[in-house]
Amino acid sequence: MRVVALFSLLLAAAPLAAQGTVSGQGYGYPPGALGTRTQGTGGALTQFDEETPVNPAALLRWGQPGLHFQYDPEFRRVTAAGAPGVRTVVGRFPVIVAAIPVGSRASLALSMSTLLDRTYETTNTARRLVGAESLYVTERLRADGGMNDIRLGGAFGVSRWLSVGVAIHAITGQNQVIQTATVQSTDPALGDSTGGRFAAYDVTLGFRGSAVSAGADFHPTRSLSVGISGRLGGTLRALRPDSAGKDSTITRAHVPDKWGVGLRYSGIAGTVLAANVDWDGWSSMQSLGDRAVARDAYTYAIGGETRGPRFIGNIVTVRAGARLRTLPYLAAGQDAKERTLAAGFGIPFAFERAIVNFSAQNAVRTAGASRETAWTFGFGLTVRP
Amino acid sequence: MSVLRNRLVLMAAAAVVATACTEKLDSGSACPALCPVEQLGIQDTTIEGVTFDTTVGRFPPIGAESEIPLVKRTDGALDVRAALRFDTLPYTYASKVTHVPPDTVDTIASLDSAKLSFRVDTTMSLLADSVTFGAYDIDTTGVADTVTAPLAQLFRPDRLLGTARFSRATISDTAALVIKLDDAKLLAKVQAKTRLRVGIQLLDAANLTVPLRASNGGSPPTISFRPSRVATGPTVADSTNFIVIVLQSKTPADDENLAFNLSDYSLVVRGTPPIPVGVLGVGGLPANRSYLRFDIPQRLLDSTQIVRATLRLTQLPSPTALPDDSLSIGFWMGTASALVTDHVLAVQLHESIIQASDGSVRYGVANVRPKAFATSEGATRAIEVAGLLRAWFQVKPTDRPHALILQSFVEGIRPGELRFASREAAAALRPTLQITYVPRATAGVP
Repeated sequence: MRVVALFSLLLAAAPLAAQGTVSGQGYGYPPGALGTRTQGTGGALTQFDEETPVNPAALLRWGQPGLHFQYDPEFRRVTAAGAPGVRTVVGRFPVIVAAIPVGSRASLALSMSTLLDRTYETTNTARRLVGAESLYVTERLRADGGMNDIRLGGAFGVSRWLSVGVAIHAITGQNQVIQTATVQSTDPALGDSTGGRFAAYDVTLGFRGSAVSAGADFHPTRSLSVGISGRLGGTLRALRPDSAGKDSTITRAHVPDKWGVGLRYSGIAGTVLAANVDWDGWSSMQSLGDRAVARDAYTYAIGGETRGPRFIGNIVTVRAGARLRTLPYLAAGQDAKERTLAAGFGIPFAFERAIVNFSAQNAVRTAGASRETAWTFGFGLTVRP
Repeated sequence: MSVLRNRLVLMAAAAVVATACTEKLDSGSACPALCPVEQLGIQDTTIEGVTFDTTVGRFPPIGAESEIPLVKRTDGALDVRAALRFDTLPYTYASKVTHVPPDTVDTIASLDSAKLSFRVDTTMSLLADSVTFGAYDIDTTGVADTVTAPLAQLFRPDRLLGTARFSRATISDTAALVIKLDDAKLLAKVQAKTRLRVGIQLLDAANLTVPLRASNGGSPPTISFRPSRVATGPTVADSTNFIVIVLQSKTPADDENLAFNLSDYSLVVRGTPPIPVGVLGVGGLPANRSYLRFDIPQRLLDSTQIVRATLRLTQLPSPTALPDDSLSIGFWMGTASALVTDHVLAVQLHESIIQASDGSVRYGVANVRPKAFATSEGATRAIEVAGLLRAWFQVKPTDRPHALILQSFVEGIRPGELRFASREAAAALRPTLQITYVPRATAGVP
C-alpha cells in the first residue's frame, strides 16, 4: 500500500516550468534514463545498472521482485549573450521500474523513463511588423510534457559469464504547447477586439513510436564485465487532434537508434570502477520537427562506487563520476555540449529490502556564447519487498 | 524498533518527493538566443473579401419608432415631422359634480383648455436658442395610410391647431412640452364625432433635431381638454372634468398591427437622398443598414490564428451632413441562416450587446467595437474585425453566411448618415480586408 501511495503522489505531480535553455531545444532534454545510482557515477554504470533501463541484460541483476522510482529536480542558471542570467527549476520523474524474476535465470521488467523532457517557458518581447504597423509583441511560449519510453524487457542468464536481454519499447507522451502573444497596440480601440493578448495556439502534441532493444552482460573474468546494448528505432509520429478531435499525424520520423558499451571492473574489494560510451542517433528525429536541428551524439562517462562509512548500522556506498556528451539539438545554432561531474551515495534499509539513493550532478552546458549551469539532485527509492 | 525506523525513512522519502513538487517557480528570459522556437511567424494578406453588399432600409419600420425625430434644416435638405392619430374622440362625458343620477352622461357642448402634451429626448436633440412647434390637423380621406406627400400639404395655416415656442432652457427630458390647441377646432371634431390626426412640425428657420418620445418608447403624446354640457363653456364646477385622449389608429382596418403602429409615426417629408449605386449607406432618415457578405479563404479561418483583421472602408461625404455632425455605428455579426434570402430580414438578425456579470460590455461574440465618424468627411476608415473572423472559424458559410451588418446606434432618431464605397465602386475605393495571422500548420512543432 505504501508503494501504491507513493506512486499516486508521483502521478499527481505536475511538471514544473522553466524557460528557454541550452538544454531545452527541439523536443527537449534527454535525461538519459539513468537511475539514481548510475547518475552518481556520472553514467558510468549505464550498461550494468538494473535501475537504468538501457541494457535489458542488466535486468537479471534484480534477482527478486523490485520497484524503483526517483525524482530529479534540476536547478538551472542560464546565461545567454547579451542577456542577464536567469535561474529556473525543472522537476522530473525520469525513471520508474518494476521487475519480477522468472525462475532463477530470468527476469522481466516494465519501466517508464523520460526520453526527452520538453518543459520550459519563454518570454520574448520584440518589435514586430503587425499588418502595416511596427508594434511591440510579447510572445510567451510554454511547453509541458515530453516523450516517454515504456519498455518491457526480459533478461536471461545464459551462463555464469553471460546474460542477455531483449526489450520492446513504446514511445509515448504528450507535449502541451501554449503560445500567447500580447500585441501592444497603438490604437486603444483595438484593445478588446484583438484581445490585446491572443492565444497563438494551444496544442497538445502526442507521440507514438516503437523500438526494440537488446543487450548482453559479459563477464570474461570475475572482476571484469562488459556490457553492450543497442536499440533499433521504429517509426515515430507526432500527432495532433484534427478538427474532428481525432489524432492525426503531422510529422513522422524514427525513434533514434542507440548503442552503447560499458566496462565494469570490480577487482578492488568493495569498489566498482566503470566506463561507458553511448551513441544516440538523434538525427533520425529531424523530420519530426520543423526548425530545430537534431544531431547524433556521443556520451562518454567514467566513474565508480565504493564502500563508505556506516550509517545506522548500514554501509553507505559512495559514488562519483564524470560525463561528457553532446545534446540532441543545436542551441543558438551551435552544438550544445554538456560536461557533468557527479557524486552520490546509497543507503540500504530494512535488511537491504529498501535502498535510498541520492545523487548530485553539476552540469555545464554550452552552446556558442550561451552557457547553462545546472545542479540536478536525484532521489531514488528502490524497494525489494 | 528497526521496522518503525524503516517505515519512517520510507515516509520521509515520500515527503521529499511530494513536497518537492510544490515548488513555485519564476520564469525569465534568455531569449531570443535560446528560445526553443523562432518567433511567431506573423503573416499578412489583404483581400477584397466582400462578395456581396447592399443597403437596406427603412429602419425602424414605419410606426415602430421609439422616438419620432422632428428635423428641420435651413437649406431644406431634411424635413421630418410627426403624425399622431387620435381616431377616437369622446363626445360625451360623465361629470363628477353635476350628475343626478350619477350613471348618466352629458354630451359635450363646449370645451376649453385643449392641449397636446409630449416629451422629447434632449440627449439626442440638436437645439437652437428656442424651438417652435406647430400642430396641424392632418386628417384627410382618400389617402393611403403610409403615404407622405398628401399629408405634408396639410401643414398649412388654415389647418393650424396651435403653436408653442420654448426656450432652450425650458426643454427637458422630464417635463412634458405643451402646445395649446384651438378649442373651437377640437370641439368641431368632437361634435362631428370624427377623428383627430395631428401633425407636428418644427417652425424655426434653423438646423434642428428634436426626437419626440413615441408610444413605443413608453411616453405617448396625449391630448386633453375640459368639457362642458353647456354651450357657453365650462363652468367652475366643470374644472375637475378633464378628458385625456390617447393615441389610437383605426386604419388600415385590415391590418391591426400596422394600425397599432401608425398611432404615431415619423412623416419623412424630405429624407436623406437615396443611396446611389456603388455606395453603402448607414443611418439617415429614414434609416438604412448596410449588409456585407464575406468570403474568407477557408485556410485563413481554420488553419491560422487571426491576430488582426482590419476592414477598410472608403467613407464618402454624406450629402446631408452638417459640419460638426458625427455618427456612431455598430458592426454586428449577422446571424441569419443561409435560408434567409430576404436582406431586409437578414439585417435584422444579428448579434447584440452582451452585458457581463462584471458590468463589462461586449458587442456580441465577435465584439467588434463601434466607431464614430464625422459624417461630412471622405476618408479611409479602418475597423478592427479580428473577433469576427475568429467567430466565423466555427461557422460554415453554407450554413450561415459570413455577414457583417453596419447599423447606426441612433437609428431612426437622428438624421446622421455615413456612406461608404461598396464593392461596385471603383477598385481603389472598394472595401478591403487586411488579415494578419499566424499559421497553425506547425504549431507546437519545434
